[in-house]
Amino acid sequence: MKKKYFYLILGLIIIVALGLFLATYIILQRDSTTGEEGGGQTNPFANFFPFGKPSEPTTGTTPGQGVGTTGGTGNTPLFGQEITNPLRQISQTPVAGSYTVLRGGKTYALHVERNTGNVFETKLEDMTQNRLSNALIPRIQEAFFGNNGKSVVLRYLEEPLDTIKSFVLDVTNPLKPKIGSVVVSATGTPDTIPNGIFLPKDIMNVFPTRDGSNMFYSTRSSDFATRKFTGTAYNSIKGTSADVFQSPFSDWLPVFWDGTTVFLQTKASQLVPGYLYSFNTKTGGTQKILSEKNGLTTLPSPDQQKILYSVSTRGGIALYLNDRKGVYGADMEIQTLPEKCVWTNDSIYLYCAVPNFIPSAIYPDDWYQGSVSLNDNIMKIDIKSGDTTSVLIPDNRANQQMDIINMSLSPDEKYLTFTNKKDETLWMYDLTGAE
Amino acid sequence: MKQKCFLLVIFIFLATACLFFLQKTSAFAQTYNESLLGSDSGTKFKTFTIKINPEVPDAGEEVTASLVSVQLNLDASNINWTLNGKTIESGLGKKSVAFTMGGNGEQMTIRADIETIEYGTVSEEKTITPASLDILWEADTYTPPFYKGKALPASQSTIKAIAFPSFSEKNGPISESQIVYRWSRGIDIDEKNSGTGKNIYLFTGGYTYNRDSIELTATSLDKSISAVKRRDVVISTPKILLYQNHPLGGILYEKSIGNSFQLKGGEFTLRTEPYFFSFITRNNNDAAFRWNINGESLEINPDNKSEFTLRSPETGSGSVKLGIEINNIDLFRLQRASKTINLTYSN
Repeated sequence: MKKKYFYLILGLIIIVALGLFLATYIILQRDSTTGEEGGGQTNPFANFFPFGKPSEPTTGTTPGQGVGTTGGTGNTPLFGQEITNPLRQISQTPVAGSYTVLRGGKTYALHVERNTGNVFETKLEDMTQNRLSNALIPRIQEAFFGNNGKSVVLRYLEEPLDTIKSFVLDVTNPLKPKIGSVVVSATGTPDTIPNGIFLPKDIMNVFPTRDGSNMFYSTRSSDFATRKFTGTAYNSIKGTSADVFQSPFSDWLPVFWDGTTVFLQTKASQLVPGYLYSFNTKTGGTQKILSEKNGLTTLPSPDQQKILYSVSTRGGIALYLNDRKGVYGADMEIQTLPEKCVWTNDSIYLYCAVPNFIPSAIYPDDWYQGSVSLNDNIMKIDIKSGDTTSVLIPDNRANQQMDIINMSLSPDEKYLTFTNKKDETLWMYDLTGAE
Repeated sequence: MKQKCFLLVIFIFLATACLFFLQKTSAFAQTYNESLLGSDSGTKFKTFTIKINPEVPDAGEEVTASLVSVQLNLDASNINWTLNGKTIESGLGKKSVAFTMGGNGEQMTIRADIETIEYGTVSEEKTITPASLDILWEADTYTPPFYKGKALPASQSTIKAIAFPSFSEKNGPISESQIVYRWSRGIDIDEKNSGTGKNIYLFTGGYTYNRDSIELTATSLDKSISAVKRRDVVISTPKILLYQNHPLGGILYEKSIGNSFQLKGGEFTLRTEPYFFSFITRNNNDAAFRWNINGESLEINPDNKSEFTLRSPETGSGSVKLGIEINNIDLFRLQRASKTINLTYSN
């Protein structure tokens, strides 16, 4: 009897062990299959497929086409980069916008490929990349992620009238069956189209909250004499919009938005004195923060109490720090534009891309117009002590010069992500692995 | 008897004169003493005043209050400063004090009490209401979509100046429509466009390199608050910048094309952006585009005259001068710009 039980238990153990072995084999096989879908990201034309057409698996060592995992699995990161190098390239093609998000203790960088509108997700710990959307919307000029990365506002020009279109793509479900004519682009005649909604046409600027849950966007009426600037709050989670601000002056540029308070800066030129105001959209309270500063461009801190700003000097730029009341102005003793900086969440530190040389030009006008390009190094500044430390010299790490824009910190502040304006490629810098 | 009467008259006359003199000297002393007590005593004359800088401060702005006197030795006097009833500074010869204005509508009262050897304690106080006035302006000129910079005014472009007052009283902010605006251009007051609630001023700018001076006086209806602002608008010149119109990437606004350009095979679409012309769009009907290669005019697409596609020849290489000239067909505006690039091509 005892022997019978013994054989029964032994048989069960063998069956369970076989089952576990089989399940492990299937999972590993599936992972290796999706990983092999890579190829062709380096060739922008390779992505030029009609909406929703699944891409053919291709061979190659570079990351892939299809929706799914691409790149390596830990040991073989994107583009064969050394994971030990804290400076790593996330995209080899131009990028229209990016965003970092934490999921399950891991940090993911999302980005929109400029040439295709495709959305990619890169796990920054091991540089594995996944295409989240292959909905094709080419010629993207700007992209802003919202709703924790689940949606993205894609902005592009409809020619020849140069109408600015802003399409909110559902990243979690990027395609839907086509009914009627193609909505987003005239390219291809597929049976699916991008899934999303259009915001009003000719939105001049979009500025998201730090977490992307809400976006402030601005429009203006067409007749010059009577035109009005309207600021609208777009809730990217609910998908609802509400007008929250109006002004007879329309050369405003939003530089901060937390869902209630918007900081509006007058559009900058070296030849014109600039202003910065804050407007509480709930109470109507207005505060003038900075005034009468030529070439003024600004970066308010997350706690809204400090303002990093630059002014034009003869042929160059000077960077200052003020508190919100404008009581003191500290010369930062570095020359850069606030657009090249990012605040830490505690509003105590700044990471700034600082040009190693400022060519003589009209700032910020010439830089905005693409007539002058800068070569930056990244520095960290403690605004309490004034200490400045060098963080990254791109030339040393990547053997190339970078004109850094759109710098942002991951939510856990372990990674810096930024775009090189020279070729619009996206990069990350691992602050935990930095020497 | 006569002598006695004469002496009596003399006595009465002298007594009256003495009384009159005493009365007058007493009145003088009273006036003189009152004048030392400042505004609290309710007299016209003051021995010192409090000067506020700036005279009409903005909400949240740092303000300096300082004492001015020709009669008192302020350096040898003990001075006590109070702000809204609380002492903020005191000591020997403390002639000035700095403080920060509160928010909109928050009035502040600054008071100085001076202990003098000659006249005892004399006092003065001033109530300050924050107010500010700015003039923001914008021009009707073109900049490309997504451009973050300012659209600068060109010759004869239309400019819109907008008043940004921040006036407050005890009950709260004063509405923009409850303020009287008085606009001047140069030395001429524009009565037609001035008045209550007229916070927008439209005008045609001068010619290139001119400077248009706008002055605005804004006054509350009860005339209790008034501020003046002057703004100079410098007229710029339009300019042409070229960008690549990439078939997939769109217009590459990040990098403008300089004075030389290499075309290596294939085709390349150039996009001209007419910065700071008085055009609503780049293909505006008022825009006259002239393209030329080595001085010979090129035929352009009338529906998209600001773009030109270059194609490399199948064989050979060389270089040409590509020229672009843009004029505003409204000749009175005198808006014109041109650009030439050296184009090198090879297959």
